[in-house]
Amino acid sequence: MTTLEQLYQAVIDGKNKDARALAQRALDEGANPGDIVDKALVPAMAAVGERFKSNEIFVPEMLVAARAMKEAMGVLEPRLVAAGITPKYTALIGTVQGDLHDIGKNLVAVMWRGSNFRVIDLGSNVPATKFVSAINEHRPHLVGLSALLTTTMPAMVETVRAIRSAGCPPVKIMVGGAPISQQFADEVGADGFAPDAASAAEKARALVESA
Amino acid sequence: MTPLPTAPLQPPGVNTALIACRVLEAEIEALSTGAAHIVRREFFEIGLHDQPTKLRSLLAGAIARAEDDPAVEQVALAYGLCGLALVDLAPRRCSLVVARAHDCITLFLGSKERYAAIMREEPGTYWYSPGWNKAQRVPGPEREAKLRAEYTARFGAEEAEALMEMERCAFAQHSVAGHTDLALPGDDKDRKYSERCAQSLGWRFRHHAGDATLLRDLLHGPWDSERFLVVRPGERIAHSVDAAIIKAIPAERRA
Repeated sequence: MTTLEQLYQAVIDGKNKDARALAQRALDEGANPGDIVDKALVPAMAAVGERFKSNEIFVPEMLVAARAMKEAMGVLEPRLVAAGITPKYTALIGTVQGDLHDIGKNLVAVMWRGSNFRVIDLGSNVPATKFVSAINEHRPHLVGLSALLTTTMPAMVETVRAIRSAGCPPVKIMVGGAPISQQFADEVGADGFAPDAASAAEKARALVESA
Repeated sequence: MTPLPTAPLQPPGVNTALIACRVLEAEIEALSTGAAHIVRREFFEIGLHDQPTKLRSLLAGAIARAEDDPAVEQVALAYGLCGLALVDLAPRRCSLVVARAHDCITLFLGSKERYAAIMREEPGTYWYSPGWNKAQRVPGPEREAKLRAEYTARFGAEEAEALMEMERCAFAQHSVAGHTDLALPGDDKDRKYSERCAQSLGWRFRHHAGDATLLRDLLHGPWDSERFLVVRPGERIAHSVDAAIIKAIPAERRA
């Protein structure tokens, strides 16, 4: 197996120390840091996402894989910055007001970072006004709204409405979370919906590339 | 605290099949002692809101079984919307009664308005109740020990610690252990347990005295449309993203 193949496997298996060491070894062997991300880390997280979608693995396995990817990114990021390689797109993400659950949102942020997005994480329990001011400040290509509870879905409706009516710079809105569906996304006027973190990465790329 | 009624408030005119979550089992038993109109009872395990598709299918099966019983005229569901598990449930022969509630906490607190007001005031509330405590689902020392053992067996000690740290982070936004109960015999022990969990997590503890009215009325009536949804044959349950929480729509129509 090549070093990149081993790194790919280490991320899938959630071996964070191996992932870090293999990312370093790949650099030492002369690999381009951007290629390491594109050829090992992104495909590994996509594979993890696929396994999650098909119920082969569950949230804890996804979390240890995300941790391994973060470790590898920790080695690569300084080299990416030094090489002037910056993410092509910018995304904002946050859990809507009243909702404090952020596991899903954090996983989506990891997946987006692995898909060439600079991600600004606004955290959880984020009021609509904070989304609007962050869009004005950072002018992202994409904003992701998350809600775990049906009790906070009205806050998601309100946030989409606030973003659309505030005269913000044009931005694609994606919604997600356990109770969210494509039908709900259509009803509230969001541009996209993804049922899980892996699909969220694919959907995000499709939305910004079609803009 | 609304006292528990010793007898049904109105004549039990409608033979009812009750389908309920075990998290409410003790409370339901206390509120329906001697209620002859409840002709069937079926309880499902706690925590199925985590798997809403499975819960929906279990509830659909239970409704069908109840409707196959000629003695049953109405089915009462002691559930909230529970992660959208109730969406698309459709009775075939009987009417289906359900409280307008996001989850069981509304049934403990007595109204969706009270629940919403508490969450507006303290969005960092994590809810505890006797049923939830007994199921070891609530954040606290027992859940931590159980999860650590499970993660260690699956991932090894080091990853297990990292996952436990993620678990702590997942609850880090919470700051209040909100305990509710209907003051049944023995509930004080659970209240103390919730208090201990709050202490171990560094959270504030708040006791919200339960109000049995909504649960009692689900079991005995009246089923006014402000608090309850009655779904007729030919209709199904749909989510309503507003204060009504749920609505009935024609079974064949898109929500």
